[in-house]
Amino acid sequence: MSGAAIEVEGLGRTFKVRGGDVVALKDVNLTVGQGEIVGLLGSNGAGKTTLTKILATLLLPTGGTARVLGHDVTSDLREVRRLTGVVLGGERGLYAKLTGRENLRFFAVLAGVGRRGLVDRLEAALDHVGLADVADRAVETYSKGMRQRLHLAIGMINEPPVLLLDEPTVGLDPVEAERLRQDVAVLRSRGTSVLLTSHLLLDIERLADRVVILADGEVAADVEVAEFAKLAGYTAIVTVRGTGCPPVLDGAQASRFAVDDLTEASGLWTLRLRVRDWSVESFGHLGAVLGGATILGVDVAPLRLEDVYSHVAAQLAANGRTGVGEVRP
Amino acid sequence: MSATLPPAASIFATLPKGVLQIVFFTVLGGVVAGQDHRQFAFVGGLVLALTTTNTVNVINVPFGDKYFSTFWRIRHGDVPVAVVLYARAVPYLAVGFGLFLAEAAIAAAVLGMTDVALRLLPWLPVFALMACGYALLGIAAATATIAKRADVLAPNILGYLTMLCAGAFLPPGRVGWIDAIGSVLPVRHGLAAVRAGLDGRPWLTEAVLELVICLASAALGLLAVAVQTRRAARHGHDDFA
Amino acid sequence: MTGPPLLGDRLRGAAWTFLTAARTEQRSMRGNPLLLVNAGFLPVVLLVIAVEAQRPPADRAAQIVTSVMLTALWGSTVWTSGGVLRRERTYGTLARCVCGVESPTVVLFGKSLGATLYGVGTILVATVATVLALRLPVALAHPFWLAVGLLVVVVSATTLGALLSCLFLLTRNGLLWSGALMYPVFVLGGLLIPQDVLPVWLRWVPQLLSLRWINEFLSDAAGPGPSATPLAVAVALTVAYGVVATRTYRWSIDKARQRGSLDHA
Repeated sequence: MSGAAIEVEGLGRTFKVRGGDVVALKDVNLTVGQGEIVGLLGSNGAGKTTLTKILATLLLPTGGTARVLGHDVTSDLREVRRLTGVVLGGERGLYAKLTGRENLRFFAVLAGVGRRGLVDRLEAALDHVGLADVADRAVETYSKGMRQRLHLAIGMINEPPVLLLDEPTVGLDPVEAERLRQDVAVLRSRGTSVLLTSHLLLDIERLADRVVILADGEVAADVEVAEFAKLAGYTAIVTVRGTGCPPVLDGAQASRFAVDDLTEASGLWTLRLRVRDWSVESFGHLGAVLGGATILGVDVAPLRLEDVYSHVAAQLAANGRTGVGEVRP
Repeated sequence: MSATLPPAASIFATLPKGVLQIVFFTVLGGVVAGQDHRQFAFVGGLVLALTTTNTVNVINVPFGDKYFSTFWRIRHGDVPVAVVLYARAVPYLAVGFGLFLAEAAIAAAVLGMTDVALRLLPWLPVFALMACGYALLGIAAATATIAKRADVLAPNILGYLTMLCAGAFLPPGRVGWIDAIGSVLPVRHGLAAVRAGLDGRPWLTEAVLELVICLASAALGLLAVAVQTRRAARHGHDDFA
Repeated sequence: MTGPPLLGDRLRGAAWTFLTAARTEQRSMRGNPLLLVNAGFLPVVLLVIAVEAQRPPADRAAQIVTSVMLTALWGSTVWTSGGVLRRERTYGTLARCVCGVESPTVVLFGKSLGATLYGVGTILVATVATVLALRLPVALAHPFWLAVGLLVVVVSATTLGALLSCLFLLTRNGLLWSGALMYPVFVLGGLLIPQDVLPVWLRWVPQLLSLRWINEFLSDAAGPGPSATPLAVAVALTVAYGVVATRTYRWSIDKARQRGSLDHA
């Protein structure tokens, strides 16, 4: 058995629809190491959920291979299912008339949890996701966040070494989302490998070790989270407001700053600069740029992963075709 | 739910059901009470198919608003809720009656009772009156229970009560409590009028009683709509979750 | 990580999953209105109209009661155990049910058993209450064989329900077909309407329904004495239903995994 928790090689999936074929995954290659949390990013239709479903044995690929802890997802179903927890989330996927505990009990048994120790495990899981107090209430009375936490408890009940999380925080309020992130963060300490699909980059920022971007059914980038931030080509945006003549960047300054936007109205100007590399020296360089100007105010906004993703997505769209190594700062 | 189903599927599932329902009750009549009971059961079977299989689809109107969460839009419109509700029920009633005519023709041919079916043709207006009464009470029952799990139960109970108490299979006068319940429900008086007409007996009184019960069902429906609309405004339960 | 489980462990695991599925389905049937309608009201209405239309003699009463119960069981099976997979699809739980560690068939049959037990129990209560209310003279000549027949009823209805469930899974209009499938068996099932009343060219149809053979066995067990042949045919048909259900279910799941439609509503 190899050291990787998830290995995907040349994975493809084409859906037949009326009027032709839809290619959801073309040639996906990625690995998730044991104990690693990998964030899977991509716009709608990029193939994230398709990939998750194939790994969860819910969907058959039309090409390539995928293995979970060395077991093929198309032939070693029993082993893959025993080793994998899946959280697809959403409001469906639960028996609304049954209680949270009854739901968890049933799905725990389906996941292979034996009779011995089941009750203790149910209690622990409910406690872990903060549903112990409402465990005997019908799920139809649960809020969206409570249902999502129950999904998480179901996905983790057999303590799988590999967990697939598809949009775990979607639709949750900030408090619920943060609580769920903490639940996932605990998995890291247990050595669980996680493939985390999310539109919310805060999830990726807080949880993931590595980011994989899917675009048009292919891996467009596969980098460490720290490296991912550099894909935008800047680390902060400085917004300066002043009067008089706006500053002009010379060649040396242009290597450190990029003018994002400059607007002038009624004698006032607003300049947005992208700082390529924020450091102590940046203040000195910024002073040099703004030296002759009358400054009314300065605002510094650190880079967010949303900005990085927007930049990457725009670049991918501009490129027309995608692939590893094509996304550049 | 039928409202969400393709019309072709709905028709192809309903038509055989109606035919077989008429055949079942007619043949069962012969089996349990002798060949003389077959004609009695055939006429009753027709009415049961008309109401419990075809007309019952009118409840898809309130059910549809529950499942698609559209009641609030109707409530916020200019047109009174009851008008919208009943207007939308008309197509179900019309299609149901059309299907019933086809089912009756097929079943009569299968059972060799075409002569009886032809003798029933002049009584179609009374059949239509029974369908209206049943539809109105069905809408009233579905609307009254729409916010509860009993929404599935109410129309089905009405169906079984009709089967038991309308005099469709069991002749009136056998069981007192069944007669008592039947006399305040749609169908029983209309069916009695049809049977009297076929036998050449006076039928008008029973037909008028059927009309009275039809109007009472309409009043109950209006009451149920008013209560649910008021409840929705007071508690904000437009989705009836 | 451990190696593959031993055969004994696998059997124990399958039995545990089967029982848990049955128990879960029973719990979700609590207060299910469809159960009350088809298992509670149907036998009462059929029994009252069949008996009060013309009071049967003592030797015919038990036969009518048995036929009514099995007719109601068909109605209940179509909606309850026959609706197991349709409901899973509605709730969005089908994907998880077929992707458990144990075989999806084990889960399906467990759930079908849970629904059937509830249905049979409700039908029994409703029928006994109606028989008492109507003061029907029903004799139970061979109670042991009646109990055996009842056991076969439960197993057969469970398998039949699983088969129907798989067939309904093949269509998006399962609810509609559930309603449409009731009367064909009422007419052609050889239960309330005897086989010899049907046209000659249709008399083979009831032979394919296990409930018709169980009806014959139970009627004999309540009266003159049980016969092994109808019981054996009922068991054989039950096994056949099970095989067809298992194959259909596997085929449906494979198709759904190919098409990606497992979690469609």
